[in-house]
Amino acid sequence: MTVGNMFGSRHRLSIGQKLWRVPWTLLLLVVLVAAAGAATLYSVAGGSLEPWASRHAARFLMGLGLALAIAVVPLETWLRLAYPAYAVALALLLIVPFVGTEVLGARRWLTLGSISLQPSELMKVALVAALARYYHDLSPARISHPLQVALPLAMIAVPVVLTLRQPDLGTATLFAAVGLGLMMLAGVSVLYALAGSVAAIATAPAIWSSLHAYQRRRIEIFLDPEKDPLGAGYHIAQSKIALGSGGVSGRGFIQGTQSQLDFVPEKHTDFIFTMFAEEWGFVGAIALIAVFAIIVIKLLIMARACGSVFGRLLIAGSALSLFVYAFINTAMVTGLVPVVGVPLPLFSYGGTAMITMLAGLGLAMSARVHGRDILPGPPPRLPG
Amino acid sequence: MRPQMRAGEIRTAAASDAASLSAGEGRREAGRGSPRSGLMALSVALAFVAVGGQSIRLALRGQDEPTTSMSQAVPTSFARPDIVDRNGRLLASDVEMPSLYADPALVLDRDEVAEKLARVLPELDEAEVRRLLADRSRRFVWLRRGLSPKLAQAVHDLGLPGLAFRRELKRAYPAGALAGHLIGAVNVDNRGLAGIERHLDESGSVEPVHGATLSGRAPLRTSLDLGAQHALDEELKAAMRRYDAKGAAGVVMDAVTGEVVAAQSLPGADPARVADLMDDSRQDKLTGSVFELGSIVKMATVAMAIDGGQTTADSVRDVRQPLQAGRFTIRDLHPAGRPLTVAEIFIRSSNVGAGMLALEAGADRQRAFFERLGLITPIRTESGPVAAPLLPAHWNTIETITLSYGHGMALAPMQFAAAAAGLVNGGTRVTPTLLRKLPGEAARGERMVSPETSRVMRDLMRRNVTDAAGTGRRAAAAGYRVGGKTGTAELPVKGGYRQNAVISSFLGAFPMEAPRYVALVMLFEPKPTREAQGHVTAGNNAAPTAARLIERIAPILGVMPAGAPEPVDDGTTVVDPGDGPAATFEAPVDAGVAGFDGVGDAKY
Repeated sequence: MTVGNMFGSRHRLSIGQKLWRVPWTLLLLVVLVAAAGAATLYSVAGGSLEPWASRHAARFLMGLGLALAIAVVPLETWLRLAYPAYAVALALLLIVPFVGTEVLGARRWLTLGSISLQPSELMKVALVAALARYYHDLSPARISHPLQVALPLAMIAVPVVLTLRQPDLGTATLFAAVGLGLMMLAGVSVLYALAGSVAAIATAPAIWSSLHAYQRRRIEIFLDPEKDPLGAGYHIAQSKIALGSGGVSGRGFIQGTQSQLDFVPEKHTDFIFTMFAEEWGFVGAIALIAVFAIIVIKLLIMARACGSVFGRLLIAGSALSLFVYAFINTAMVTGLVPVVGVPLPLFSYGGTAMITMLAGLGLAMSARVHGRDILPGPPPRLPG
Repeated sequence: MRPQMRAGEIRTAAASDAASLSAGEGRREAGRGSPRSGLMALSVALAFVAVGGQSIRLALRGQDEPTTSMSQAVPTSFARPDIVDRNGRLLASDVEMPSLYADPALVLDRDEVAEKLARVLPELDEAEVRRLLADRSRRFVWLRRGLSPKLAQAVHDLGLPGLAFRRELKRAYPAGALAGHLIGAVNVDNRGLAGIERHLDESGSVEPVHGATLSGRAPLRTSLDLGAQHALDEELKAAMRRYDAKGAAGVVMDAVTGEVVAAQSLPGADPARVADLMDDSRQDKLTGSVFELGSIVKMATVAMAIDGGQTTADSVRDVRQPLQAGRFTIRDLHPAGRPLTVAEIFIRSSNVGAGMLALEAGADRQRAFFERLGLITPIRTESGPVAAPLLPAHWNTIETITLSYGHGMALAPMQFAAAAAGLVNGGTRVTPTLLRKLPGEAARGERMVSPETSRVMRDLMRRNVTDAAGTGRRAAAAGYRVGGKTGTAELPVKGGYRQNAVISSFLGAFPMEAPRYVALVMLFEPKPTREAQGHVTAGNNAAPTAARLIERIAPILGVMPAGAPEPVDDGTTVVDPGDGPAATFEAPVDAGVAGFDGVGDAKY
């Protein structure tokens, strides 16, 4: 017996009503970020829509359409698809090492005919959904039971290990951060977090030795960028110099020296924030960061208001993903954290990551739109 | 308990909205929110504040321009300290010179540039310039490194676009080819290739720099004395002309400290011309080659006989019969026709006598004694390794005999000069050095022979010059008590020796009663000219050359002529010429030059 079966949903919304409930102010901020991204890509290309800005905009519009489509699908559908999606994503991740295509020394892609698929992207959405489903079905009393903690940990750990081996430190970090964040939001005892931190510190040496040489080097150089200003530390050093050259108000649109002179590597993807900050100064940089912060916090507030555990964690997962990406990226290019290859969400050039991010947002919006739906689950803990 | 966080309760809250169940709890949930998601929101805000703060910090740091550090990391040149002689006179120094380069992309007419440049710089290859300028994607090609200011102005005056200059360091050698072999050379980037220049690099005195930045380090003070070096160079050149010799070499070494005050090998090498160092005909004869040195090695043979207590200078050997060893017969050039004392064997340079002394000692002792003199183990100086001795393959009777008079074993002259210095300085080992030693800085080497042996050797060497029958009598320098030993070594060819093709040498020391310097003079393939009384033997060419040399350099080095009052302090005292020394005294070498210490040569 479930609550849903007992009471049924009294709110069968029409498409129009659903669209009315879509969080349009949030979407407006998202559009703002993507537009700023397109403008920066236009500048990076030396004042040209080609090759990046136009495609960025087109993909964003596609992704936005997808997100809205996802938003109007009943949340219950997504609840039912959560575990199958996770299973498929996991299976694909497992076979990537054997049949995947190698790009730049990393094996992340599956090629199916003319379509290239990155299973780790699918996993980004599936992991959030699966964890949300797991806590949705779990009785509150059992949340901190060791067995009930071990299972979601395994659900997170398996994709983390698989992506680390591809190797893709950025995505693995995202899985770990978002997954663990969701567990905390779901109410797992803080003692586990404390114990985990202690264990992490204790096992750090072992992890260190299992990292790739380039990953270790990035951390070493992060700790002391002067160590190698021309080699691996070059990224950070040049990025910092470019940020500094922007000053308060920036060099102005299309005036950044970086686009012309190619000092900063990956300036259209991972280091795009540097470009933006150089042209718009720290005023622009802070404005962009503020927009990201508002989006994330709005999502977290939205999560609280959601009527189901599944919906609430879906929204929170989307917020966490956005936050982890935006924070790691901006902190990386400003030299606060090691260089980890993650894009600035919705801003950097790169289609797959943007579609994934918008799909996640779509799920969050679905949770918001269907916030009052009653989903199948275990019986509520009745008072008394 | 965290009631607001319980999944069940939130679900309840949702249900309450719909079904009016647990309405109070639901409202509480909606109103107060969860502390965890609030905490999360706070963390998010703080994290972004940190990033914002960092971008403000970077922006306010005020970096003017983004720069590429790549170009600055590659040093454009190497700054070298000066090299000076023992008195501070300049031997090598960095100077700023313009170097000509081209940016092919900016060159309008490559043929015009090539033709006009070739007119101003005739040694420039026109075709090569065209080839260099052909690739317009290269933005930088060197055309000529190190131009004189005058030539740079001439190129500038051509007014050709695309040509420009960059100031670079270039090594200059004010003393020209003097001591060129020892100084060595640098490459186009101002890095040491050979000699003392290389020693500078290997000892870490050379710094990579950008552009024309001069080294701030103190100059390297060598043991060389530019005045003595110049005299040696001139006397050797004069001797080459006088005796029509193919080459010459000479070294003057401090008998105790091993400081080389002058060393020249002719034909010489100009440090400014790297090609000279590669030229086989200009090889350094003092340290870069080995030769059979001939009778000067009898110094070692006689010292061995006396030092072991095997004999005394006055004991007699019957040298009338040639020595037989297998199919070889060893005879003297000018047989005395009577038994000779050991002293006479040395003074008359009797091969038979030397061979007899060596046979008495035996091969093992001979080898051990040579080892003790430092003639077996390769040595090195600051200008690099000295050519290693070439030892006989078997050390049997015949080798023992020939080695006694300097054949069958080839040595670098510098190595033998150091051994000879040890034999006359009281018997302690001398290690040749090219760096100046301050008084007290140079410790005496380990003991090689007894002081008594050394005294006997000094006596014999002096008698070789003063005795009417001495082979070195023409080495008698006016006013200086010179002693020494001659050597005339036949040059080997395949399977034997060439008649009348010799290396004639004189190894002298002065003043002989307490030698301060040893001097080795060598002439390569001298002819029997009239000046040499129609002979090629060392007594007729190398010995008189040594006499002229010592007469010239002794005053420079502060050695008083016989009978002159001893200098009061360190040789800087100008002796009144009225006191009657035969040689002219030069004022102490650098007393008047500002910036140098003015103390000529602090000797003991």
